[in-house]
Amino acid sequence: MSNHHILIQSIANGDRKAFRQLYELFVAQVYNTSLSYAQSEQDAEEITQDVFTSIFRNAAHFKGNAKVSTWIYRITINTSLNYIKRKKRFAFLKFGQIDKQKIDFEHPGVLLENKENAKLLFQFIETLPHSQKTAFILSFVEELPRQEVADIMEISLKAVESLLQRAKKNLRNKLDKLYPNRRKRK
Amino acid sequence: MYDDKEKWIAATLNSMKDSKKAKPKSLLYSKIEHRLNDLGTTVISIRQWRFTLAAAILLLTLNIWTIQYFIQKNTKNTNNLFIEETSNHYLISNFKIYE
Repeated sequence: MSNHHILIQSIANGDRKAFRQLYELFVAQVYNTSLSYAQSEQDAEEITQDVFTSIFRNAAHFKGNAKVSTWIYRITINTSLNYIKRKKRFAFLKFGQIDKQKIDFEHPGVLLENKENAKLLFQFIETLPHSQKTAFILSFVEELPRQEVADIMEISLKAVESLLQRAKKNLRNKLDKLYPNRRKRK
Repeated sequence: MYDDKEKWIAATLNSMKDSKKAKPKSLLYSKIEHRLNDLGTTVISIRQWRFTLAAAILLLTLNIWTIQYFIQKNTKNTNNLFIEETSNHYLISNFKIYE
């Protein structure tokens, strides 16, 4: 049994120290993944809170056959998608503020020379279907190995490759259309 | 130009490569702890209360309006019936003029 599995078992028994340890180990993973989905630091913090609360409540239901990180990634992705869905449902109350927030999103960890390109990339990631978006975020933003992406999404390696190919094609088409405008701006 | 475009698209697709991990605010853990402590108690926000109150008032108003509407409609119907009946009597008595 791995250390992570032991931590989860202790959390299931209500051990707060173990919970703190697990938090320190996985907070970056959870926060960064939710940030890629929500494209807002405030929302990513909300999602991170939801994820860790959910981990604490469901630790007893964790089946030891998956890696703990895989299980946490799954919770993060589901929580992020639900959060976004809920937010979109009430978007009419905010009069377009959400869309503006997403267009202006700059990932805080991106290298300075890639800032402008990354901003565009996130704008277009937002338009991808859920499965393509997940495959792309996990592979190209979180930079996880393809096999781990397949495990998290509970699909085959081939299916991941196919999703990535389609996601890239979609993104490429959108960037292609944008290129002439970009040249004019230069 | 084609090369430029392809290079730019590739660079954009890989723009998150080697980026640093973002860090959440240090207060985040205490917020989570706070939530865990509140797990047993259900907190209803003022906003939720307001929505509930507004919904209750709306429902009550609609009910009162519906009841009033039906009462008014029924009184009108009985009045009409009375008028009709009297006018029918009048007509009927006129028809039997040769009897």
